[in-house]
Amino acid sequence: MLEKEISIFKRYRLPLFAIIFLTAAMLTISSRINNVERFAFIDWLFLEITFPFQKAIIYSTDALGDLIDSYVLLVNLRRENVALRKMVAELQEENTILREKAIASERLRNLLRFSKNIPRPMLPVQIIGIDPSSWFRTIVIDKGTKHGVDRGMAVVSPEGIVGHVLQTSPHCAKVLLITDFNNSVDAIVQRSRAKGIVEGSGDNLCRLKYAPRAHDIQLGDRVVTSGLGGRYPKGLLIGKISKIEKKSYGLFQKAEIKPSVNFTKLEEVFVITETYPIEIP
Amino acid sequence: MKKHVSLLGLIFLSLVIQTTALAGLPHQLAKPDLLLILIVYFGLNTSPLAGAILAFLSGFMMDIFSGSIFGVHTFSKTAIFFLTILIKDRFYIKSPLFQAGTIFSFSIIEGFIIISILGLISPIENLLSPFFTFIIPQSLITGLVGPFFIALIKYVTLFSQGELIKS
Repeated sequence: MLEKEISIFKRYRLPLFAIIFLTAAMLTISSRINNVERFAFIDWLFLEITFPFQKAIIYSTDALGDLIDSYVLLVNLRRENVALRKMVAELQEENTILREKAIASERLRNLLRFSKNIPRPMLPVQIIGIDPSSWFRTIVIDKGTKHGVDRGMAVVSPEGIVGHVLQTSPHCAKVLLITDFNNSVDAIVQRSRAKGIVEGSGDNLCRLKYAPRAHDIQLGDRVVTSGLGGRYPKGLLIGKISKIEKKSYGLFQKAEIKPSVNFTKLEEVFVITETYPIEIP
Repeated sequence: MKKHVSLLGLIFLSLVIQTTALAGLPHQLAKPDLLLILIVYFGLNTSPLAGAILAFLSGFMMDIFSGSIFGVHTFSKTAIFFLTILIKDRFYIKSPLFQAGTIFSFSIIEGFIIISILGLISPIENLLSPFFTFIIPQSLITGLVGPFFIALIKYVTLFSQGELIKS
């Protein structure tokens, strides 16, 4: 009898495992949609464990990049003149370091200027990880609850708004970018003051929705935050209108927005550590 | 146990590389999905139970780092694992070329699974547009990288001489 049961189990083992694991996965989706808070501990624990490794890899890839820039490109010159190559390598390394310092200095100066323009406490943070999937648009930053970062806080850069904090752990946090299709921001067109909601489209672009048809929206118009909701200060740049969809019927018109922030080149951003409506002077 | 831990370490390392070094590639949309390659490897080389647990954990870890709808990758990665088991005795997928083709196909299938789940959870406009903008480029890159990454995993697992891996 037992042998028969074992053979039945062996025969249907694979479909049984498939049902169990796929059901568990579906339950994971379902339970997370209904109750995010209950599992927050697992998320921050894993983010905390991964944080030092991410930081180490970021530093080592940067160092490797510098090494490649400084030396590998000079391999052919060695054949011509070893002494000259050595001198060029040294000069190039020095030049790379100086250029890097100049770029960093300019970037930091911009960040400082930007932070002075916004009358809210802002925390400078560094990006240490980018969403591993192509489906969602999130980044991981190197500051967490221990530094005052909390869920829902706005993340901005001198070029415009970046997104908001989605999850936190003591030393790092996950930021949902404005290009993610689960993100939406109340916005206005700067020139005509037409109002609408900006939503991410998942492909590094955003869409302006619910803008009344009668309002004037043109290609190249700058779209800024309206300040409603209290998450983002009023007047921060979101992007520029790159395409308009205006049908001959309906109440609203839609538009495509190219975000002002180049998310592929972001290195440092700011977390606004207060959330209440206030205008930029 | 030691072998299970080493495979978990491999998942963890792949995820960290995917969120850091690979994320900095020039074309942001077309980065290889190392975890998908690992899942296909598990499907070809591990027992159903151990592989299913590893696939489930891989997806779960990816979900922690990715997006706002939790569980999407947990489901898709587990489904891909069982699909690999289903086809492994029906097709010859030992050669690098066939491995690349299999991984490419599974990457596309995973794209469809994710699109379906997202569509079920919240109706989103133009949900199929990612198919052309990043599913195909990413699947191509993942397929190309696949055989090399599998060779690397085999090399790494040779050190551990696992009972789990039937290489």
